[in-house]
Amino acid sequence: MNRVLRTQWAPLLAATIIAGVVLSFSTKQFGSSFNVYTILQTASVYAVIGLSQMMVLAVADMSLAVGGIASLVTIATGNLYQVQHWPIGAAIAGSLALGLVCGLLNGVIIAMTKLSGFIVTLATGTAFTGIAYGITSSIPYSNIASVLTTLGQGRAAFFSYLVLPAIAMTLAVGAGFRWLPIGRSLLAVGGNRDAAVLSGLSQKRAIVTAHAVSGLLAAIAAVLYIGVLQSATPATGSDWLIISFAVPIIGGTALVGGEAPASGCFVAAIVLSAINDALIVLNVNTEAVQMAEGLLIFAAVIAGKLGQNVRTGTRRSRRPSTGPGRLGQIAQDSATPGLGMP
Amino acid sequence: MHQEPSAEARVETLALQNISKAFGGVAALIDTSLELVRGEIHALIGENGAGKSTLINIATGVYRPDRGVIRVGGQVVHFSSPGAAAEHGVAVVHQERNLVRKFSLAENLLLGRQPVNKGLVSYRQMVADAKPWLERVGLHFDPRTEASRLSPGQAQLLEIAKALTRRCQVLLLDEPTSSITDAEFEHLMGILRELRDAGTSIVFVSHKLEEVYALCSRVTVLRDGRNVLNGVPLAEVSQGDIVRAMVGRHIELFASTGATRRETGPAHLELRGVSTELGHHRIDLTLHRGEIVGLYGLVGAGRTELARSIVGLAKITGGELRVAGKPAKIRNPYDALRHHRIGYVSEDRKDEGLILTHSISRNVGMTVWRRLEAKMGWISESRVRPHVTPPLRRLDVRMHRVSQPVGSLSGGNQQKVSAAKWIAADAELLIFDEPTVGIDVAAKDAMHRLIAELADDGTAILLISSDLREVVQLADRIVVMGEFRILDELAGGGEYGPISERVMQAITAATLAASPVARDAVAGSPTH
Repeated sequence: MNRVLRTQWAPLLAATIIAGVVLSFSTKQFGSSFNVYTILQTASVYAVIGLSQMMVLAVADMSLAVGGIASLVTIATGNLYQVQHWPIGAAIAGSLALGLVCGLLNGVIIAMTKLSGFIVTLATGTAFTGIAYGITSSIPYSNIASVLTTLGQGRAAFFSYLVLPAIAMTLAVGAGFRWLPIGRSLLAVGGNRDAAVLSGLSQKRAIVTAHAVSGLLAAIAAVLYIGVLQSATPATGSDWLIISFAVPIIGGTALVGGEAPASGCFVAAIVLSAINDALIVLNVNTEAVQMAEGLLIFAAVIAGKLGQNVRTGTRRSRRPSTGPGRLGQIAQDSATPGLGMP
Repeated sequence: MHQEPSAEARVETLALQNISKAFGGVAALIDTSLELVRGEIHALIGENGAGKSTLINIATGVYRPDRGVIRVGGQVVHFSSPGAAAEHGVAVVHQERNLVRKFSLAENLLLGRQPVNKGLVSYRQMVADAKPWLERVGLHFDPRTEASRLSPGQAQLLEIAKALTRRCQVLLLDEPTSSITDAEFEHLMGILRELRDAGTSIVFVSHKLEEVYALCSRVTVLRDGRNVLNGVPLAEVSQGDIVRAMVGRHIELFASTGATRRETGPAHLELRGVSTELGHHRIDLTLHRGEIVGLYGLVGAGRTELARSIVGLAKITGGELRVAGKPAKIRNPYDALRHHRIGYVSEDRKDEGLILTHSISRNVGMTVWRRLEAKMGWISESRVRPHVTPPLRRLDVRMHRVSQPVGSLSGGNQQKVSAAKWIAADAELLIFDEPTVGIDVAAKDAMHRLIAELADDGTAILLISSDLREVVQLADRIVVMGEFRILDELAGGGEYGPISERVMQAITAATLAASPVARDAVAGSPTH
């Protein structure tokens, strides 16, 4: 419990819940089960988009191609199903594989050229979107398989079915970082590249893996979003860039790498979605909604920074000291009595 | 004292023979050799830029030699990667702390080889595996402790433990003592001797000759990428011989001339009962013009933090700070330099002191831009240069031209540039934070001379150092700090022995008062 309270997003979630309760009393619409369903539906897609970016942030890199991959994958799904008449299962599998390959491509280019992910994904992301528009001549596919529609639109009262895949992804990514050796390598490379490399871990492998999984997650988000939109359009992903960074950052992911709080992503997605929704319910115009998003990112980062300072003292000012006083204190904390130094 | 292994017992472990290596046409090593035998601690010494790091990187598979042979246990080997060297039992503890700070001690120790059960990392197994290795080097912590909580010395021990887990035959230590306390050094020496007696060959790179003599049996000295001394028993060479071998000429060490107490002027900076947000409590400290005050303490005593508070990088929450007799409020380092002529030469020259990719003249000129600009409205290289060249010349910075990037200089020369910047700024009070950590004997000597000269010219100097010898030599007054308080104050320039005894007593007493748990630690620690 203590650990939950100390996380970066805890105050934000608390504030959102309080605001939500207040809002649901003042405007009937906000607390309605349909509205809560809408919030969860959007949040589920946001969460997977955020996880996609978080994969790459974990190795201290970034991807501007999350949206581009989503655009291409959306088109692939629509095309394979509507034009090539593949069964929907095969069409989805093929599209997810395509997302994985796009991410893999990013990773390989970055690892081989040693260019920054920023530059490489700026180029590839734009190219992916371009290909998607080219294939469709900008016309969306409108024949959407019922399984996707059911998933995207279905609900039990306020509970959107999309929450299930989103939670599954969150748990999978969280567990992967915690328990898979490759997950630990990603965090080690992100946390201290030199230490990781000198310990025999491969930086290239970590970067390629991170981008590949990021591509797969972007593809999953895209497939889920087809059902929400009930259309497979190349415009999907065009507005995902900010979301992809906002979600992990608000969720407590450090831009310097070495951290990957998947659950934070999920909470941040709900917070973002709820705030967007509240502003719309309150009839605030769209530009203001975007501004609010920006302020929220800012607030989250500042809250995180303050929290960090409270926990560890300001940067460098409280370096771990060697004074025996401190040693004694740590020794008391640890199970073994006695001291570090004889 | 350790006995020299007899001729029969001299089993070669790692040998680097006639190694040459060039980077972009510049020779870093020329026909250099380093031969290790079982159960010895071998000192590797040389000025910064002499090729020690290159040699170590070749021994551990980071670089491949252009020419020459590497043998392990008599067999010729080719290391294609650090992993390959590790497989042959060659491990290294680098100067930089190579820890993943967010990971536990156990995971850092077993990084890349975490125990796996059915494809998943087993944390329980990891803790169990790590415990004995941590105990072995005297890190009696819960293996689940986050690595960020370790002091630099403890981080060093963790790295040694990491090397041990790889069951190494050869352990290379690249300046392991540059940022650790005396007590930690004693502990480290104990562990290294144990390893040596168990048959490990250890290479010990250090700039501190006292340590080398205390620990090592043989020495290899490099100069400009060549062997000057090759595996000579330390019993046969004096400290003077080694210094001469390193620098290639005889230098009259400033150290040996000793400090003279100087006439000091009026008080320049006064702290009266100052408390800070970082935890300092009622600090009283006065610096006079033309005086060197040595601020000594263990790592973590709060010295750097005090310096940072003075120049406005942390808030002063109580008491009064006076500059030149008037109460002053310093908001940031810019304010400190511009309005109070106080400069802070930071300990961390790479991160805070210099912009490595910028030219020497830009780095040095940074502090004078504002002054020149105020007069003329613009800055040009030709206007800055007259302000930049004298301090560089005065410090004898070895460079080709002032437009070359600072990053291309050796560590010692970088430190000189960092100091030159503040001389160009014409400060009236300079705070030097660990000015000689990790730089070689000649550069250190130049730095000592510079500090003394600045004081002779009337600059007030606060010298923060963990090297008590340095403090005793240079300072007119020594202020001892511990646990963010001033513990004692005494005159400098005296005999090292009695001063060090009194300083250690002050620190010990304060520690005992602060933490009863630490009593054992202190009772066992040496007081010189």
